Parts: sequence; C-alpha cells; structure tokens
Amino acid sequence: MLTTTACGPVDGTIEVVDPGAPGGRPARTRVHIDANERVFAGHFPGFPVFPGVCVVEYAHRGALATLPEPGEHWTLAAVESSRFTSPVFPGDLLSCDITWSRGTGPREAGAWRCRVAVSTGRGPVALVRLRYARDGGGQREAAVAERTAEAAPAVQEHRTEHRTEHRTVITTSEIRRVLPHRYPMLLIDRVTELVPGGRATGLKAVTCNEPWYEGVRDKAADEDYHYPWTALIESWCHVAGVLVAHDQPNPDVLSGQVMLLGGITDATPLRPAVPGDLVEHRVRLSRQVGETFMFEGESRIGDETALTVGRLVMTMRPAAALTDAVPTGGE
Amino acid sequence: MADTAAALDLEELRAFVADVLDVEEEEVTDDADFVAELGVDSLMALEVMVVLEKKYSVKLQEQEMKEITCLSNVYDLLASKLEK
Repeated sequence: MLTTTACGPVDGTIEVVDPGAPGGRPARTRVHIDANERVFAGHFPGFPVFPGVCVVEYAHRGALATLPEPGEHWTLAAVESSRFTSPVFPGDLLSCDITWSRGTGPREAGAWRCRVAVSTGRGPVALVRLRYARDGGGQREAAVAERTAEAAPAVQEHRTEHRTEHRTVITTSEIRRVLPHRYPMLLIDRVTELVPGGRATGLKAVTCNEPWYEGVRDKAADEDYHYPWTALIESWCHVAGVLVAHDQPNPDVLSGQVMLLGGITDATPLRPAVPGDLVEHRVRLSRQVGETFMFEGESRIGDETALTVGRLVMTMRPAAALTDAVPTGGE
Repeated sequence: MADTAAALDLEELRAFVADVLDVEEEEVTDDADFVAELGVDSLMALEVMVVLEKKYSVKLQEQEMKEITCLSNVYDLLASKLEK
C-alpha cells in the first residue's frame, strides 16, 4: 500500500513525469508549489518561504510514487541526508530527479535507497537521500537497539540532568516571542528544560485536530493518522531554534538575523506519533562555529524512542539572504 | 564511540569523506579542492569537521576548519592530532 496522498504538511499532488529505470535513468516527478499551500500562512507571516522539511516531504512522496518494487507496504526507514542550498517560494515548479539503488549495508537487506536532486526553475534547491524498508519490521528494531546503545551516554545524561536545576517552563507566548513560526507551522507547545549553549527539551502534544488530518477520510486506517515524519522533524527543530535564539529572539523574518535550515543527516523514524501522544524532543547542541549550529538528539513518547536525529545544521544569516532571493517579475 | 577511535588510513578516510560529502570516492582525489571542485559550503565543512572528530576521537579547533580544504590536508591535520 502506497500512501502518496496520506496526511502531511503539503497540499499539492505530485506528478510522475518519468517512472525511470533503476540502474538506468532516474525517475522524475514534479509538483507546482501553490501560493495556497497552507504552511505559507505561518512560514512565515508576510514572507512565505517553503519549509525545508516540506521539500523533503515532496521528495518522499516522489520516492513512494516511483519505488522500483511497488505493491508492498514500504515505509520511510531513514532520511539519510538532506542539504538545502536555495529557498523555494510560492509559484515554483519543484522537480525531483530520483535515482534508486538497492540497500547494501548489513541492516539494509531488501531496502531501497534513493538520491533525490530537487530543483526549481532557478536551479538546484536540495539534495535528499532517503531509505525505505518493508514495514520497518526487524530492521527498525535493530536500528532502535543500535541507536540506543550508540547514544547511551549523552541520552542518559540528558535524562538524568533533566531532573535538576535546568528545568524551566517556556510557554507558548514566550516561544512566539522567540521564533517567527506561526500556525500551522509552530509545532512546539512548551520548552521544559534549557541549558544555554548546551541542550533543551520541549513538548509537542499531538491531537486529532492537527491541520494535517483535515483531509483524512472517515474510512481511514490507524496508519493514516501517523503524524507526518517531516512535521515531527520540524517540531524537533523548533526546540533547537528556541535553544539558540532564546537569548536573541527575532520573531520577524524580514529584519535582523534569520535562522535557516542547512541540512539533516541520519534522521531515523522509529515509533510513529499518533493523536493523544505527548512527544518530548531532546536537542543537544553538539557544535557551534560562528553563526552555524549543529545539533543532535531524539524524540521520545513515554519510554519509547520515536525519532533519532544524527546531525542537524542551522545557520543564522542576515534576512537579506532570503529576501534578496525572491524571484522578481511574478510567476 | 570514544574508546574505539578509528586508526588513520588514507583510503578509509577517502571513503568516509566521500560519504559525508555525498560524492563519488573517485572524485575525492588527494588534492581535489573541497570548495572549488567538490562544492563544499561552510555548513558541509562544519559537518565534515564534526564527523571526523567523532570518528577519530580528536578535538579540532575552529581555526583548523580552514585546513579542511582537500583530502591530503585533512589527513595531515588528523595525523598531527593523533600523534599527540
């Protein structure tokens, strides 16, 4: 079952221009980025920029539609990497060139991987590598065990120290003074721990009233209510955003320094979030060089790890870096 | 993991860097300029630095990032770090 039209933070329908030939030519999909994409209202008010995670969402949908081995229930096993090089604006035609290959690693038996080169009429905008597995299954369990072992010291420390003096409550109103994101793209409800220059913990409550569930039909299955992974990654990023911007809040994207998503490496979905879940995002700042920040961490639901993020890069740039990139002369 | 730092090997380093930069191994010649020839930007340079630190259990300073310009420089930089 391929759910290319499942809920997600995007509204357009991708078109398969060329199904491609694995080992031969890449598959190609495209989608028009309509000014009515609902994320634009909150990303950002007065200055619509298509979120990087939404570019990944369209790459993911293109991948599902062109998977060389259809007819089975394939799920996203990992965002191996995604690098964003140029912004996407309303009216752009987003093209994805998708090159498929078989998974080669010991844990990737039977998996498919793809490299998606994403571009608009102005040139390349992102390079995304995704991996798919059948139903997650054993691979997923192995990945959980490995990730848990790998991250153990930092995760353990994060958990233990969370109980101590760094507890805080940063509420929605304060988050709105720090971040420029707004409905439907303000995806964090509360920050519960903040160590400046170190780490932060934040909460995202998932409800059945999420905007992404608006089009889900009455006959939909439980899986159709899995919170979109791309939106969950964005939510995690918002905790990272509060961690670094909390001392230098800038809720206006048209002036001062704005935060841009540079790349995501090894984001591994493990346990889907569904309505009723309280997701706890744990973000650690692993490195800062100048105005560029690298984070790692995970998301938890109760005692389970829902998502791990290997590396995520954000950078602060003058607002002009974005505003100057807007194409002139209309669509 | 910190206690099992990888030993330095040029070919292994080449494969590793190629993977991080998402380019073919053949493109990462000893002297290929990361910025001019392999399209590395400042964000990717930071990523290379962080993953090298982790893999080889070394600590690189911010100014040493400037030396991450080609594979042979990276090799020399790591070699000097691992000697200490």
